[in-house]
Amino acid sequence: MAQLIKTPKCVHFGRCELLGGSYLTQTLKAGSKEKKRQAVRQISPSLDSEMDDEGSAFDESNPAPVPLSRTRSPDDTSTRRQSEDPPMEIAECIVYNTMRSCARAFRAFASYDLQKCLDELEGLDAAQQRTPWVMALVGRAEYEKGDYAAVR
Amino acid sequence: MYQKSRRAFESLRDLDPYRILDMEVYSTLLWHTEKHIDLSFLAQELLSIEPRSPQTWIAIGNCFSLQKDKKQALTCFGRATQLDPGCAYAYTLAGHELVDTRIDQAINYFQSGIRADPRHYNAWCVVQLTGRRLTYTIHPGMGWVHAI
Repeated sequence: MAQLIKTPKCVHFGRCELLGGSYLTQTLKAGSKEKKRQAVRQISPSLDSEMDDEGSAFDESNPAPVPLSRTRSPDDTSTRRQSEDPPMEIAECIVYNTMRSCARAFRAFASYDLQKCLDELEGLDAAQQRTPWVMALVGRAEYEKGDYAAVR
Repeated sequence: MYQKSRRAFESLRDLDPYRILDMEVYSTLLWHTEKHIDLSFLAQELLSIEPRSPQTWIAIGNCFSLQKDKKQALTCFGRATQLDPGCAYAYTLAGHELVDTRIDQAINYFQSGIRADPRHYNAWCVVQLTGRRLTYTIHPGMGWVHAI
């Protein structure tokens, strides 16, 4: 019986990696998971505040970013690059945050923690919520939830 | 729950009308809510978009199943499994079609589904249910363990 439980994790490596990870953290490493979560919580507000500060600074100084062109003098491009650095960081932050919540939502879905999955997807931007991937995941999560209620 | 899910899938189809992925879930949702017209419309559309995807044939099979045409439904689910032998959902639905008439074959289908995807909870649930009905004791208690 123990073998039978183990086999699926070996066969479907990619998907079960998520589930296996969650099982492990739930059962064995409950303490370390909490620590990780706290670490993430500590990081994410700082990222957000940084993002907001830089966003407002950027908006005040140069509202429309001008694309680089080769005709400019080297001095001009270097100053332009320096001024464009913060927007790149903001973009990275946004991309990472979006990816992180998408990944968290999908992981919750894979372990059938459907309410958590839906909450994560609710937390995304409005623009992201209108993407087909998110809509499909919301649909599937709601469907599975309905199924469970009916079965129980 | 079904209504929320249905709303999500409807806006998904507005956003991305050529989407094939996840449409098997939507077709089963329509089967559960007994929307004959929507389901046959979905099946027709999927067939015109991509006749070679298992999701299309699952939708068509669901459509036939809703019209109580079990033989045609089985053919469609069989075609879905031919197109993608790893499609556990098609095996499960084929098993559901047969569960009232030929329970031995149905169990074979469910087991094929489990073989295709050991984490497919639908197949495990049904194996457990049919197992109870037949006092079928190959995996005693395993069904729920896997399903939950």
